[in-house]
Amino acid sequence: MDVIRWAKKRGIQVTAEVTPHHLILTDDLLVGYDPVYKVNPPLRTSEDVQVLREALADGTIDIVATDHAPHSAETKSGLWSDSANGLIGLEVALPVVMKAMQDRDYSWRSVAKTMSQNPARIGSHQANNLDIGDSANITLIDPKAATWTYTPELTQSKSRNSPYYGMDFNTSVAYTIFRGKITQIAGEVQNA
Amino acid sequence: MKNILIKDASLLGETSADLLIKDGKITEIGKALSASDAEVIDASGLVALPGLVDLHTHMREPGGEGAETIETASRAGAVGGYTTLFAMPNTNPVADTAGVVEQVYSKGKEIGLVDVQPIGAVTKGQLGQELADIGLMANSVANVRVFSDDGFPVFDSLIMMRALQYAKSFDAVIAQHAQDPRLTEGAQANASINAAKLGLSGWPNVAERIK
Repeated sequence: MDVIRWAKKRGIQVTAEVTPHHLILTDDLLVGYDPVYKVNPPLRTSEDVQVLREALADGTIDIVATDHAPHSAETKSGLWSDSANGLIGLEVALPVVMKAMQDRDYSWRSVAKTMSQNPARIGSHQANNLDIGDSANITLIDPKAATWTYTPELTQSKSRNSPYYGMDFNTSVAYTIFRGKITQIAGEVQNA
Repeated sequence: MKNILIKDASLLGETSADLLIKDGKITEIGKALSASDAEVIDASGLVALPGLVDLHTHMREPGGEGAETIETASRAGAVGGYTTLFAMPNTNPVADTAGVVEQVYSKGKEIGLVDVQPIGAVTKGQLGQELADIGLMANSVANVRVFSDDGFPVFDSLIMMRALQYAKSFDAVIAQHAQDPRLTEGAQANASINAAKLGLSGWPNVAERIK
């Protein structure tokens, strides 16, 4: 993080991403050799997690990106050393990030920046500031949702390599609106 | 397309307002808006954010449809609150030509749940030896502006310099995965006492810092 801070100070055009899993999971989870925890870069220590949370809160890290990496059961089971790297992360990215950042100074405005506006800008994609005239891409979040548990049954991805099954959350994504069309309500994809 | 009226949303968690959506755009923001023809969403207690954008999704299609497809990834994205997913190029074939990125882009459009924005490979086949068709991908229908070899980081400094110079002419960026290949040969877990106890070969954190 010091290198990125230094480069930004020098005016070098550099940005940095962090994944939700590197903000919440640590290498003690490897004890059972469950390959669901095998990712690249590897899970590191709780001190590293704290450094990443700090850097996300202070803006050194520009974006949260999922590295959503689906793997079939065949490539993600058996021996640790034979198993593929990666986990699926799209569905609970925001709840995971909010859980990880709950004790930090990380406002909804920061969430909008790091999970929508900054990635859009970096990718030269249309930015969205919830202004009149913007494309109606809107996500409605329940910030005080009744505690809910993520399970395989809620999964839309074709793969099931999630380390978050059984984890409880208090943030939920109530609605997703894409270009003026409702695409999701409370976990149900809307295909109309 | 039906108009939508969102009532009493907390915009970015700050001020409460109604949002009227017509023809896919936000047309009005204010208090006590009404529209007789609109579907109403009661958003009291909910925070309105701009649709989430993921710069790093592996959609696996083409070639890895056993694990994920553009459709299932789009559905997963919608559930997570995403409206744009950038698709990584490590597919089979690799997204290193205009043909592949256009195929991914148009499939995403057809499914219509999120914007699928392909990321192009920096080098042919992500092999790190020869630049991919960066210009053709940038000028294609998919309008590629992010290039990456992701899990096969560009390790040749000359190739990287040329890629950065070439990408700059399209206002595009190169995303580099932080991993030194030499330091991580056969590496399995964070290099620590923990990895030693488990008998897993160490992946030193310096491997993320020196590239």
